[in-house]
Amino acid sequence: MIARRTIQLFSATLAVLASAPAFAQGAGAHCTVRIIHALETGEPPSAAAPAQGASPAQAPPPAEGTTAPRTTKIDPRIVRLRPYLLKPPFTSWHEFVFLEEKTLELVPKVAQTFALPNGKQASLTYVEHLPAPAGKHRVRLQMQIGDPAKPSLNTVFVVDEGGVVLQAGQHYKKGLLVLGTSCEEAHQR
Amino acid sequence: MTQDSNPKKNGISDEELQRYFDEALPPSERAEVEARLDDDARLRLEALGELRSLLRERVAADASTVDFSATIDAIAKAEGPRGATPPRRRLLLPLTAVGGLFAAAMALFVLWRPVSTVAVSTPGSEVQSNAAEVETLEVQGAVASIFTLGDGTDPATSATVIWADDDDEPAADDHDNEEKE
Repeated sequence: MIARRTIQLFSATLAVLASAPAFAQGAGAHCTVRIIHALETGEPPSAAAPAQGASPAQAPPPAEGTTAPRTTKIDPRIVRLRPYLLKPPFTSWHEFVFLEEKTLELVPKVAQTFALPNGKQASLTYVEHLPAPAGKHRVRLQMQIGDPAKPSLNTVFVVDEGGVVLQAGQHYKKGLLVLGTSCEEAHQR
Repeated sequence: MTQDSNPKKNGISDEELQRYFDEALPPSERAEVEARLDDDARLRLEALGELRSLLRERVAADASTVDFSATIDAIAKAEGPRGATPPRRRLLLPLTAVGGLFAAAMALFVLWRPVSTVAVSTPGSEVQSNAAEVETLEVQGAVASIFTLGDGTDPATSATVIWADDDDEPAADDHDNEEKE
């Protein structure tokens, strides 16, 4: 009797351990990449763009009284990312146009590529699912921009499910591209 | 009455003589029996010796022609389960396996747990700030920054920004498109 129960316990443990890697990696991720074009709209480039070598976050806002107040036009299709675009360093740009939204169904460890409006290739890879405190879920993603053999940007980041990671700095039509990436676990959709 | 029909002949019974022949007597009794041996007892001893020799020869002859493999297999099969692993050891084997798997799972958890430290590798670039969300960042010949923005409504809601100025000039078709617009 004891031996039988032990075998049952052993089998149950094996089943749990066998399912652990699948749980840790997740079934996949449903990700969206919102692509926004930030334009200076008449602002001199030297004043609009952050100085080379300086952090955009540290770029000083225009001194009060020296520059006329400017209104910022934000495409009404931009909802989720709107609050972030009203903060420095994005305040150096005064028009944001929603270009497109890439919907990516990612499977673990497989890069999915998509084209950026500036002609460059970008890819997003769902690396793995990470459990987080308070029942939240987190995903580890890898983003590459440029030639896959020698990408101009290659980053791995962990983001909360539903959280946003912004990537900015790609030149496009005298402006720049802002990529807003957010993901959810595929099984929770 | 004579003692001839008595099993104890000349003071030595058949049992004593058999034990003497089998060397099963203690030394003191063996010496006593030996002292009492007469011709009749010696003849009986010789007969016992011949009988033993005949039996050994016969058994040896028969054993060379008999195949015991089936019997050995049957014995091994009958004793197999009992002799293979004691019950307690059979119980311990799965427990040991479960313990080993648990240890392996713990080791994997330790190895796979999220890394809180940030490793930034930016050859030919300058990194000015960092955030815990970004684990690695590599840029080619560009200025890279990582910072966090709040949305102004919920302090818990923030977005991590990866800012990397690419050194590439806008593609020619960008200008062309712009001119067309």
